[in-house]
Amino acid sequence: MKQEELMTLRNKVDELQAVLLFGKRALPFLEDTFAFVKNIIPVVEAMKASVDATSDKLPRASKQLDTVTHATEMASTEILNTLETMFGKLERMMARYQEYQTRAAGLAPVLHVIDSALDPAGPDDVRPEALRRMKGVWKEHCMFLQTFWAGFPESLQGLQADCTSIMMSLQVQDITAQQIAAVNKMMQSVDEGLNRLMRHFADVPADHDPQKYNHAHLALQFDVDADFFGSADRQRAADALIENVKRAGEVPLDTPRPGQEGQKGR
Amino acid sequence: MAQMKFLIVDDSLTMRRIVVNTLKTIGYDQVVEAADGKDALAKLLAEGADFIITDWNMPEMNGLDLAKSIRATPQFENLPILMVTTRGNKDDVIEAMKVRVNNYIVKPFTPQGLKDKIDQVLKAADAKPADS
Repeated sequence: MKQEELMTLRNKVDELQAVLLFGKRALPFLEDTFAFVKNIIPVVEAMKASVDATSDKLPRASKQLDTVTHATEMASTEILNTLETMFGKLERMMARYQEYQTRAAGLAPVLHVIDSALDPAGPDDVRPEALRRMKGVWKEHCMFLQTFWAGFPESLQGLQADCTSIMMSLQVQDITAQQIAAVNKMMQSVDEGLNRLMRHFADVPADHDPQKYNHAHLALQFDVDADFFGSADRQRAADALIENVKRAGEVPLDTPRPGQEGQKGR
Repeated sequence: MAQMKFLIVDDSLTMRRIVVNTLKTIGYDQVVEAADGKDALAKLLAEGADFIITDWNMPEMNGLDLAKSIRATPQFENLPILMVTTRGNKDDVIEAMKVRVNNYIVKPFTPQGLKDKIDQVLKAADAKPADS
């Protein structure tokens, strides 16, 4: 064997020795890795089963939320229908009362004549007792009418105010619909995220089915911070901010009333 | 003076009815409704309006984009716009003011609150001198 061939053989032996040494070092690591993968398979299978169940439950929960929003919308509509009827009736009652007041004012001179006619004429009047009794009844009747009508406008206005309060409370429907839509969107994101994770470990559909979360009453634009409470504080903060900006003069806010001479607009 | 015509823009039917009824109680009977910004622009061009009350979060075109479009249209450049929305963050208010919304109400609002804001906008419009 020539010297060169001996050198080549020696190099090859060195390489083989290095490979065997690497293999000897890598083997425990590989063994650990194989053991880990074997152990992880049941965990991944359990995860996949759980994600599959979640992917089934989340859309159902979304559908239930859609039903809730639909129900509150229907209920609000019914209440508004009734309130609008009540507003109409109250308006008519107020109009009738004002008509009554006008007619009563017109009758005042006549009532005065009747009142005078019921006074006993004098000591020779044969009717004094009967007249006094009639006058008593008459006065009682007048006082009754006065008392009856005294608080009527205020009562009507009170009823109107109560109806208005009920109506304003129905703003809760809009706000809760937005809150529910935000939850729906979050559930959809969680479902998509879980599917994306599981794609590395199992056969899951590459694309998430958007129709599972596309419900009529939840497909609305929402504000994640929509809240029924605390609006007074937020309004005050908004008003203060607007005032500060107006004073600073950075954003022109006040526009002329439309129709003013020289102005653009209607 | 002829009564003002309001254009109410909100994707929630409940909210539109509440605003319409509230306007009636404070003396404004002439209202037109729209369910989103795109619908509002079409109705504004077809029927006109003297005052816009708009929500922010709406499909097709939101309230902010509606305000931008209105301000970009010469004939509606100075039309009063009142934003009525659940959005109450400082950044939202500033965004609205940048597109020249005249005033801002955070939902839920009260009838007196709405009346006060409308009065403020109209008073400010009266106070500003007309362009020559």
